[in-house]
Amino acid sequence: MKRREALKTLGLAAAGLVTLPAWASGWTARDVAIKSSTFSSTEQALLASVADTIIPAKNNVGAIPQEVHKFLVRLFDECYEKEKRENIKRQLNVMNNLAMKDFDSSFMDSSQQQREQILLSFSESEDESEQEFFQLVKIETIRGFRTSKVVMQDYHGYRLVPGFYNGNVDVEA
Amino acid sequence: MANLNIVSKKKRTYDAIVIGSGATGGWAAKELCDNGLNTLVLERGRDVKHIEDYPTASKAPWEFEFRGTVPLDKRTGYGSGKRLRMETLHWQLKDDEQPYIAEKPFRWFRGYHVGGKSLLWARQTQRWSNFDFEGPVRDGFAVDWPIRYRDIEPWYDHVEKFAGIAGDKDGIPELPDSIVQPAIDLNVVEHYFKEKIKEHYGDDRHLVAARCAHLTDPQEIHLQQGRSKCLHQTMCNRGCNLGGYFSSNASTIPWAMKTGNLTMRPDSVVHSVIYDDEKEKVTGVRVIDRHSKEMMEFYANIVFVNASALNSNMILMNSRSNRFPNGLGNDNGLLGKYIAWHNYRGNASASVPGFEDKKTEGRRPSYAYIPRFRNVFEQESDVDFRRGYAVGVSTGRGSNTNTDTIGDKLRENILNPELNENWHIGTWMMGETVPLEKNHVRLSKDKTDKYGIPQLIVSCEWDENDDNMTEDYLQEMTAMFKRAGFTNIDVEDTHSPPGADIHEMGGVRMGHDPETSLINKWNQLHHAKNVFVTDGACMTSTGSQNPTLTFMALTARAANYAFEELKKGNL
Repeated sequence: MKRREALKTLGLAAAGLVTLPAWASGWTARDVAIKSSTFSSTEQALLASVADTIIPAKNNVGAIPQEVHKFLVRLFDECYEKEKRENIKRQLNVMNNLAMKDFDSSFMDSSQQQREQILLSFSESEDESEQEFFQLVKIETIRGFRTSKVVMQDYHGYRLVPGFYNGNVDVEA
Repeated sequence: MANLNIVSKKKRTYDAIVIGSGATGGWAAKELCDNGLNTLVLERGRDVKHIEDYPTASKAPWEFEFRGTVPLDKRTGYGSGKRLRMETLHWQLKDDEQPYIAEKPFRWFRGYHVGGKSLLWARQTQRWSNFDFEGPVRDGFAVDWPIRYRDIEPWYDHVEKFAGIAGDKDGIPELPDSIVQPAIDLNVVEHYFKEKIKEHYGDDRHLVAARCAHLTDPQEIHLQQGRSKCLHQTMCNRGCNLGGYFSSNASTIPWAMKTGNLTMRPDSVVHSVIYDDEKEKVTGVRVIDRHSKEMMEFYANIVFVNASALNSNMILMNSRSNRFPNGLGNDNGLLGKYIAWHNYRGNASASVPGFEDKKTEGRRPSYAYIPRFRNVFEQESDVDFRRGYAVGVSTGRGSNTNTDTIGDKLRENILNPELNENWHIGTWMMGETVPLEKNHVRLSKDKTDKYGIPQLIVSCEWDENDDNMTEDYLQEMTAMFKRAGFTNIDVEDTHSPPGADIHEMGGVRMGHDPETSLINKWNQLHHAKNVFVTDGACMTSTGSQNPTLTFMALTARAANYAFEELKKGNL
């Protein structure tokens, strides 16, 4: 999908974000923002960018190709108390402002290195709600990624029906 | 009008009624139906049909939208402190279904649906030996079991052949051999630990592959049930589409259904058992329909009470008549007393040096097992508690992922987990508890549930024997670990409350004497001979083995006895 189209489907143009995040360039048509969410399309895009920063894609394996960003939005909407959810939204905004201030660009338009730098500053923050935001989004991003079909089957050897147990297997050198 | 009533009553009359459809209710139904008795099974929960009602049985982790986490709006009604998961949420009981009063800390796990806890159990099936049956009389507690191993042995055989048990022929007197299919084997570290134990303790301690109700080599009888080989999915508590493990749903209930003699009535909350003062016998069961809340009666010549240990106590206590003002069969006032359970308080873990060149593949639905070794042949003079404990053993070599970082490095770490440096061993104690009169259940005098049934008050607590036994387990496990060369030994008394073991037993105990017990050696109420109590409530003592196999064998035995007695016109 072209950057412009992705931008449109996400509704980011309306939100005033002119440039398209780099990670969106690989998106396909199914990657539209979740409409019935309490997260605005901007917040969804920011959250996706966070997930993309935590686990960037390589060879089409990463948070975005494995749709972890969608998992996060739905998870935070349905499984987390409002208080935690609101903190996530607040911190996304704080994070974006920080990017504007430090790097003169939106969080999404910042480089991977810059985005990592911002997120890591949250992990070391003395503000508990910033730390909590970082830890929560990181843990859930990892969980979403690790439990995705591609990672479990292609990388971790998971089989729904293994059919056996072998308790004496030589480790390959 | 009178005529209509007769017709209606006739329609609600069976040869036998079984209360409950779990492991023992299913067995009662199977045996009674196989003997040609027209049998009604009453299950208080909803129907669960094999395969079609296992909505999550073949779902991979990524097929759960929240990867197993339960959305907030689906959590209501379950109370706090429950570990809810989407994989198994449909088995969870809402708090308002049957509130109870824990006078002392107690956890009561229930499986209120067709199949009961047989759908959710840990599937471990170790036989009792005479060291268990002779325990009370040897050690001077409870009352003497009126049966011995030879009485139950053929029924263990009977149940095991049909259920299908994986295990070895270990030839250990305190853990009699089962009728087995090939064991789910120990791994390389467990074989090592087994040898080390043998080296140090000779024939006093053993480590074996736990016997479990999984099909590793299905026989004709299992194929007839429509079951097939266990394929190690290890998602057993969602229900198994293969019927790889034994449950009422996969095995006894469909079998009984095929005889044409079974009527299954789910959503039927049993209020009480009906005793007819004139006929001087039980004539049926009062039921409240879970949906309409309507009270109705069903009639039969014999009634099997298999509602799960505490709920069976409850039903009998609530079955009052002029003859039995204190609950059915309760002339001696002991109904609901001498409740006991298993002591699962102790955990021990360690690292296993060596074996760096070994790992496991696939998954395993079972464990290793160390049968009870304390006070087996006699009360040992240097041991400050009665009875003993078995030990569950699980070992493996996990992997780890460094998630300290973010970015490309994190992705690569997650995609390429590293085998742990060491194998890990975890063990848990399964201790016998000594039934005490003070540990009891009774009915509340003022609180009822939404069906108008008095709430159950549970009053059970640990005592010094349990504390000392736990301490001994921690010490002995430490010693065994050290002797095997294990390191990073960590032992813990979790102080988990009674009931957390899900092995509650007693309250309707078996014995020779109607003055000191509720049921006789055939599981018949001493004072109402056409009522049989064959679930955990019947247990005089608890042993240390996972108890379901023994409940099932007692049930099959009692059901066949009931049929014979019925035929003779004695009931």
